[in-house]
Amino acid sequence: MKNFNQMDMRNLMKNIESKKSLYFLFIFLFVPLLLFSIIFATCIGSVYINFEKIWGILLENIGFNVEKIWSDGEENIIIYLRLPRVLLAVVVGATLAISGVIAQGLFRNPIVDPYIIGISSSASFGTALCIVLGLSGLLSIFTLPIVSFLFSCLAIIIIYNLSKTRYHLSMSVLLLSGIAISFFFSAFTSFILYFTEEHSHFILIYLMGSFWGANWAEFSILFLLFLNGFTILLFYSRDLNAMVLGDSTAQSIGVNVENSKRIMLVLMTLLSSTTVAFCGSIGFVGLMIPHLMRILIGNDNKRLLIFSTFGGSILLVWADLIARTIVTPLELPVGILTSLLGGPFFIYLIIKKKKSGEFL
Amino acid sequence: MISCKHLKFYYKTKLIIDDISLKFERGCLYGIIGPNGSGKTTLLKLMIGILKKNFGDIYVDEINLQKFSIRDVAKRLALVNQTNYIEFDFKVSEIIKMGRYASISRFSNETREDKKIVNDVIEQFKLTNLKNRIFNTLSGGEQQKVIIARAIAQKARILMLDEPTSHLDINYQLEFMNLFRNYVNKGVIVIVVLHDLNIAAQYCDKIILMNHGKIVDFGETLNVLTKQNIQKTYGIDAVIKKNIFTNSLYITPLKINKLVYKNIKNQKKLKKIHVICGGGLGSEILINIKDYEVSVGIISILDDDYTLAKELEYTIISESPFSSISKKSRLELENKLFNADHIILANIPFGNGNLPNLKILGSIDRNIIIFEKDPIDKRDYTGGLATKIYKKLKGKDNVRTVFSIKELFKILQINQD
Repeated sequence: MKNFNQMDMRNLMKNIESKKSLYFLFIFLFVPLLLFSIIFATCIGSVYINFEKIWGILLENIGFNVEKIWSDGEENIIIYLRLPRVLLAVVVGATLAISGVIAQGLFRNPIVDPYIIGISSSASFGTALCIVLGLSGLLSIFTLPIVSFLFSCLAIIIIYNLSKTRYHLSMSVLLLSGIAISFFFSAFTSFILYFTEEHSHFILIYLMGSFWGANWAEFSILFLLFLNGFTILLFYSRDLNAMVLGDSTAQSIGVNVENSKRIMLVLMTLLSSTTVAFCGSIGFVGLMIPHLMRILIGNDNKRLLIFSTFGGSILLVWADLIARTIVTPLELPVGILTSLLGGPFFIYLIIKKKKSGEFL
Repeated sequence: MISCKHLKFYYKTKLIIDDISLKFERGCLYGIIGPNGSGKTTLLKLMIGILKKNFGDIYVDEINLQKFSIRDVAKRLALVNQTNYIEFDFKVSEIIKMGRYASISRFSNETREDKKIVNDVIEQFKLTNLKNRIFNTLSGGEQQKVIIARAIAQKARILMLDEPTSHLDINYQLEFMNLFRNYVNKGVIVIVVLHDLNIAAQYCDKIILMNHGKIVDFGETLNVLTKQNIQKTYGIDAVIKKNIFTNSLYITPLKINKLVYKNIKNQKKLKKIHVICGGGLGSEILINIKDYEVSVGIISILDDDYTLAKELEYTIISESPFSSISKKSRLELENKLFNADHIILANIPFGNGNLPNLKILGSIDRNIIIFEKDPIDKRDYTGGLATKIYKKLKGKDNVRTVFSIKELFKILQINQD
């Protein structure tokens, strides 16, 4: 059975991994799918606004002179509500997915995501603290991301120093201490929730993760961050490939392993903590998307980064669309939806691994 | 060329590498041997800069290693590690391509030359059929081949391998060692950590013998692989001979020697055992009584037991073959027998040549143990004379007869492990 599966996989990968078919997959599947998802999600909502109108609104806002076939209300919905929200979902999905690629590569473990080492729980705690103390407006829109990044950094610094030895950075210690820190911060957050009645509902919804209240500023900050992080990570993807051989072999083929680890760890923290600050912790995207892409296109980290970007975006656009339409006029936190998907997916992974004999 | 001077490395407070100075030159295949935990792997990792030394200097082509960046080191030195587990599925060609990472800038793709090198290596290693396969689905030998191919793709002038042939079958062992030999002939310095002393003896030009983080001996294979060196580092006795087929040394380890044995031999007064044997029939006894002061004889110098006793450095009373026992030997034997704590008579056949051995035993009052596997009349070639003496001997009070080697060792209190 195992051999059969491997043969199957090998043939599949042989077919997909030739460069031409990869480009094909990229251009004819992922790019159109993402564009379609964005347009579709922008059309759908409490009021349906057709594509023609959206196109017109967009052209007019860039400065073209177009015949006005829409109402001011519709324009407001598109420009201030739906578009930033959909685009935020796009960029958050992409950010979480590439953070997941990095986490899995760094820990050499296909079933981890950045949240596992306490990034989300420390960022959540920072954000909750800010809200409770009434400080969330201190530095306008930048307050929450800065605070949550600082708290994530605090967590990462503690974990980093715990797992640093004279010779290298021990990824297994990092994972263990990360889990410990994660529980620790979660406890603090629960503490806050328990004692502050007036804010608890807001914090709870925030923690579940949603794109509620998305705006252009949030989108721009995240987009810039994503763009920079993504570019740097592309240049480091090779190092991540080499690290599968083990630290010492990676170094022997010319990779500055410790340096790369540090850079990627910081980027991963920065990227995922900022998404937590804006949208709460949206679980499982960082786990599911990289893993799906591994099955589809193999384990080369450069390709994984590119394809996961699209995969993550598409997933979150649809998840958000469902979250805000399924029980109208109410809105589900999108985090609930991704976790609903993620749980069974995780179990599917376990069953698959069990069948292929990896858990003996 | 690569050399190190006064290299020291501590793990916490434990000294792992203790003041090692070495020089490796082109055109030589170097073997590093030594017991587990003697610092072989650490030495390799220090020389490539993966572990940071505490004291000393390493020079590659006369330039201090510290002056090189990690990428520059990778262009000069390639390392094959002991373990090569890969968590994710990567194709063979992808793994080999990783060998070129040091030569490709972070911001560019591999050049045509890099691709050519990778393809050449794949062809050279006969991996063309496997190049699209997933590394983790290959057999152990194939995986190791890919890992070595990756190191070769680095095009480094110095190649270091940490036990590349362990847990591989004999075909792969020979294939890899021949391969290394070819690279040495092309001017590459190859340094291999090996556990198989015979492989080392057969292929290496020079051997570094390590123990407890120190160099026990370094030099030509012939001069390093000596009985004394092996005894000193591994604590085992070995027979070292020249293999007539390969003209290299071959080493046959004998039973494990208790490490403390040398000391005991010097300090305590050892019990004395005299063994009467011959025809190779005493070997089982001789090998297991190294903790005693042993004498053997009278025995012919062409006898297998003679060779063995000589290797084990026992006292031997010998005669030339086909000659009768001289008076001198007889006196010597009597002297040994009178002083022995135990006298062992092995399960040997008797002819007129060795009959005097048996006759003398009759007049000795010491502890005599007869090891009888086969009845005496079946190994008597003296026409009944030996049987007569033997039976008389067995009836004496100071004589015990045992029928198995286990029983014998029980009396001698030897743990046969």
